[in-house]
Amino acid sequence: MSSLNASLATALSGLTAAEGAIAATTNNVANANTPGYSREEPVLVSSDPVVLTPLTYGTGVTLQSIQSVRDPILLSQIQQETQSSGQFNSLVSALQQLQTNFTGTSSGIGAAISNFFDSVNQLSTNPTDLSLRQGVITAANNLATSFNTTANALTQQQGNLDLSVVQSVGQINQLTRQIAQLNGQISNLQNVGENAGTLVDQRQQVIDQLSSLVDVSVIPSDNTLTLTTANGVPLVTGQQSFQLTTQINSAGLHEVYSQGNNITSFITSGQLGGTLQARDQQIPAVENQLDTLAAGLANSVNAVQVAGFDLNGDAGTDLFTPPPAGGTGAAASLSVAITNPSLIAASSDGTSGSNGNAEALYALSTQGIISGQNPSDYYSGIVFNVGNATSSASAEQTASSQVLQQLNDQNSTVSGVSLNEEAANLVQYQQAFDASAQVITTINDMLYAVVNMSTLTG
Amino acid sequence: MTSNHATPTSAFTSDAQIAQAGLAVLAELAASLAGSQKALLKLDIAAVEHSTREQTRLGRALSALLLTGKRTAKFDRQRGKDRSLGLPAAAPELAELRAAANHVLHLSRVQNALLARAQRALRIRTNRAAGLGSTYGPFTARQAAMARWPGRE
Repeated sequence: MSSLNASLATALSGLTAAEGAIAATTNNVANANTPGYSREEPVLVSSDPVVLTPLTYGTGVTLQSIQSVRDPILLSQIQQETQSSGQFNSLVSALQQLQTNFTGTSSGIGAAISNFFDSVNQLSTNPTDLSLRQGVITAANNLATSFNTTANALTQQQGNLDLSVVQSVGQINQLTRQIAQLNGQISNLQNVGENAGTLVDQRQQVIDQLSSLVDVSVIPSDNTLTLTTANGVPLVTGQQSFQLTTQINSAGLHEVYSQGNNITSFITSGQLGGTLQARDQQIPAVENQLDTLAAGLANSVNAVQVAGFDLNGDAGTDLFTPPPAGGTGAAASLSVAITNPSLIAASSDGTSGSNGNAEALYALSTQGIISGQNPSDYYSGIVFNVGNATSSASAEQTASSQVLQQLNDQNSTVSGVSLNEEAANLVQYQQAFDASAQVITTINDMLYAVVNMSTLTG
Repeated sequence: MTSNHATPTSAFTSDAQIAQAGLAVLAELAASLAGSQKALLKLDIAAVEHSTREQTRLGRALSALLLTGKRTAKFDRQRGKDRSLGLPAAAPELAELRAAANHVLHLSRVQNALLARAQRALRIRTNRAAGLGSTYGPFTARQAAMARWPGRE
């Protein structure tokens, strides 16, 4: 060994390696602004040496591979935070919409409760006045309408969120199909030792999109990936994707199924998790509180009403239609049972001038008739709960967005292309190329000298 | 005003002075919370500790101010005057104070959410530093210490 020809081969390996490294640098520079691109680095290794006892000769350099630079832990953190971000984005959006139905005590149910009791209070000052009696019926109707409107708005919002669940499931299925396809392409390339960096980047971007929709766990295996939900429901295994489906439950809402199993309650993060949280937890909780308020108010008013006497001296009848047993659906179905103003039982003793029962009705406004609270305070509690839930979710959204930004910035420093660094690399590889070329020129001169020497001696 | 050399609360003689002092403390608290959020994002523990000490001090200053307001409120209630946040209900600074207090409340909630995330990130780092064999369970060094000192939980 150690012949001039061997040195020529060694110099040639240097040229080839420098060419490959320059190609990687060129690709990095070209993709400097490509979203999701991870910079590539040439992996150069010494070629196997040749041993000619007692000496060992190097045989140059080999461009073993071109490797994309990624930090798996950082990517995993980004996925987690993307899931949180998706969850809180959809939750905040739903809660803000929910909040528009609860605007404090100046309008809506709060104002209707105050107006109703004000009208009863006015009636107690002149219980025989038909216009004041009509005022009570009008205020009761307004109160019932407020409950109906709010309850219907909540049902409508729940329906819209339900549609969003179906759409999200469709998007998830589309993305898992893409990931399964990319898994196959990446696996095929890597099995024959090719660089699949671009496809891996594409797959990472699709996984990020999937993470914003649902909680995803990524389990890497040889040349491929397995994706499950955080709870272990398989989404993608190698080249196979597992499609999610939806089925309507007894309440008319869509549940999410995977391979025949209902996984709705297992989905806790991502946009789908946030939507399900709003649809199945937040809105039903508010609906339940509204029903409690409507049923409690109607039952208490009716109880006082039947204990008194109307303008004709007859025993009072229900002012509101009795709410359903258990109270479920009370807010949506609340209505006023009487239209004749003389049927309001303002009298406590059957005489037309008595206002005892009207005062008893008015006294309900300050009594703890709804879970130990008066109606206005109970309603204020609902408003507070909705506002508090919105504020908390909004703070989580802000925190999630800040952390995600920070992690993306960190990822850019690891995987992003630095044009300064690439310029420096280019100079370095160019010099290596020039040096190898110079070695070849020198060996060529030497070979020429050897050939001429042979001619002279021959 | 910075609360390092804050006016003693007993020295306030008017509602406007209490309001201005409250606004100043809240502004300082908001700035401190914003600073500690940046520190939390960078996992700069020393800066977080510094900010937390500062926030504790500002919290005390705010409590003292509220106490002054409450004393005045009690006095005013006896005279039939309505007060809120230690100020007369019609005080022009009230809306500004409420907005500042809400801003600080939001920042505190964000801080709480960031703390939970920082705790998670640090736990991952701790376990990574502990070695490949460790699990994502409780801090292994602590477990080892507990084993050496039984009954010291």
